[in-house]
Amino acid sequence: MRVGVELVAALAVAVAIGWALDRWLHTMPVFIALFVLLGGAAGVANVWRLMGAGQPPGRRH
Amino acid sequence: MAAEVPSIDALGQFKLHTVLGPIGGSVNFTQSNLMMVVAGGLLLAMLYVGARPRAVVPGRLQALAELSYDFIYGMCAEQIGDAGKKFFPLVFTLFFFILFGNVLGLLPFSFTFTSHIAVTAALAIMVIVLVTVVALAYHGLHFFTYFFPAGAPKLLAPIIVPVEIISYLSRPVSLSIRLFANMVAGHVMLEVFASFMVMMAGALGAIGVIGAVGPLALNVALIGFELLVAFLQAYVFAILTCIYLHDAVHLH
Amino acid sequence: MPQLDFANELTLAQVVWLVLIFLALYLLLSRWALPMVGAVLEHRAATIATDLDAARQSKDAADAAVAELTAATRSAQATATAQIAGAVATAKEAAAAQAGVLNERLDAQIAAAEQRIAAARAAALGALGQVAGDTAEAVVSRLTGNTIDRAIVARAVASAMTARRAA
Repeated sequence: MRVGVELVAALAVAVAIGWALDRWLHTMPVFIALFVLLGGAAGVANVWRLMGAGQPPGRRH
Repeated sequence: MAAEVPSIDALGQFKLHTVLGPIGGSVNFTQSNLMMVVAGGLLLAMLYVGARPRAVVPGRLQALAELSYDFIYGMCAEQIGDAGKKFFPLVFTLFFFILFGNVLGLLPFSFTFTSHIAVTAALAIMVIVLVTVVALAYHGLHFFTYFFPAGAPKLLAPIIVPVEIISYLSRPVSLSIRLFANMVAGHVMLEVFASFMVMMAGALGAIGVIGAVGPLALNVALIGFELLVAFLQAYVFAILTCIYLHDAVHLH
Repeated sequence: MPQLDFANELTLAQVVWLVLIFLALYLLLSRWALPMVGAVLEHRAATIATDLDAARQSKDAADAAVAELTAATRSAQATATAQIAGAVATAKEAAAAQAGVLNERLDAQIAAAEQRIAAARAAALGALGQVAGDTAEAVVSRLTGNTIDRAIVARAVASAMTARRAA
C-alpha cells in the first residue's frame, strides 16, 4: 500500500508539473513525456528511501 | 447477484450535507465539520478530565492522558531531536485529530472526515508548508542544497534536481492519498459487505439469513482491522510529519 | 465519488471549517491542555525527586547514626577494658603490698620468736650446768659425806657436757 502510494504520488506530481509546463510553453507533449520519466525515477527514489536502503547521507544524525 | 451489485451505494456515505438546520446550512457547516468538533471536544475532554486529579499515582483516565502525552513527546524527541519540543503541540494535534477522526468514523451513523481528500490534502499541505518554512527559517537559502545531495556527480544535476524536487513535492500528495485511500477503502468494504448481508437475508429467505452470517463475520473481522488501520494511519501521518520536520531542521 | 465532487461547494467549505477547527484545537491544546498534562507530569517527577532526596537524606542520617553508635560502642568498650585492666592492676598492687607487709611482720615475729627461743635455750643450758653441779655436789656429799671443791665439780660438769654435746 505504501509503496504504491509513493509511486503514484510521485508520478502524479511529475505529470502535473509536465502538463503545466507544456500548457505554459505550448510544447505539448514534450515536458509531460520528460516528467513521466522523472516522476517514475522520483517514485523509485521515494520507495528506495522508504525501504531504508538509500537514506541520503547524514539524514539521521 | 450481478444484477443487484449496482444497487449497492458504497459511496453515498461520503456525501456531504449541512447540519444544525438553517444556521448550519447558511454557513455550509457539514456533518464532516461536526465530527471534527466532536473529535476535538473529546480530545480536550479526555485531557482535561485526565489531568484534573493531578494525582502522583494516576487513575485510568489520567494514565491515558499522560500516556498520550508521553507517546507523542517521545516520538518528537526521538525523530526530530532537540528542536522537537517546539513542534510537539502540532504533532500532538495532528495525531489525535486524525486518530479520533478515524476511530469516530467507525461508529454507526457517524462520518469519517479523513475519508475526504480535500481534508487530508489540506492537512498535508499545511504540514509541507510548515516544513518548508521551518527549513527556510533554519537554513535560509542554503535549504535549496537539499535538492542536490553533496557528493553526487555534477553531471547528473539536471536529472537529480528535478527528481528530488518531484520527490519533495510528492510528499504531501502521498501523505494525503495514503490516509484518504485507507479510510475510503475500509468504509467501502464495510458498506459492501453490509449490503450483501441485507440483500441475502432479504432476497433468499431462511437460506439467505444463514448465508448472511458470512458477510457479517467478515465485517466483524473488518471492523477490528479498521481500528488497527485507523491507529496506524494516524501514526504514519504523525511520524512522517516528524521525519519531514527532522529533515527541515537538520537538512542533510 | 462525492469526495472529488468539487462542483459541490460543501467539499471546499468543509476545508475552511477544518482550518478554523484545527487552528482552535491547536491553540487550545498548545496553550491549555498540553501544559496542564505536562504540569502533572512535572509535578510527579518533582515529587518523586523530592521523595528520593528525602529518602537519601534519611538513609545518610541513619548511616551516620549507625556509625556514631558503632564508634560509641567501641570507645565505651575500650574505656571499660582499660578501666578493668587498671582496677585489676591496682588490686594486684594492693594485694602484693599487703602480702609484703604481712610477710615482713611475720618475718619479724618469726625472728623475735627465734631469738626468744635461742635466749630460753641458752638460759636453760646455763641453768643445766648449775643444776648438774648442785646435783653432783649433793650426790657426792651424800655418798661420801665430804664436801667437794666446787671448782672441780664445775670443771667435770663442763667437760661432761662438752662430751655429751659432741656426741
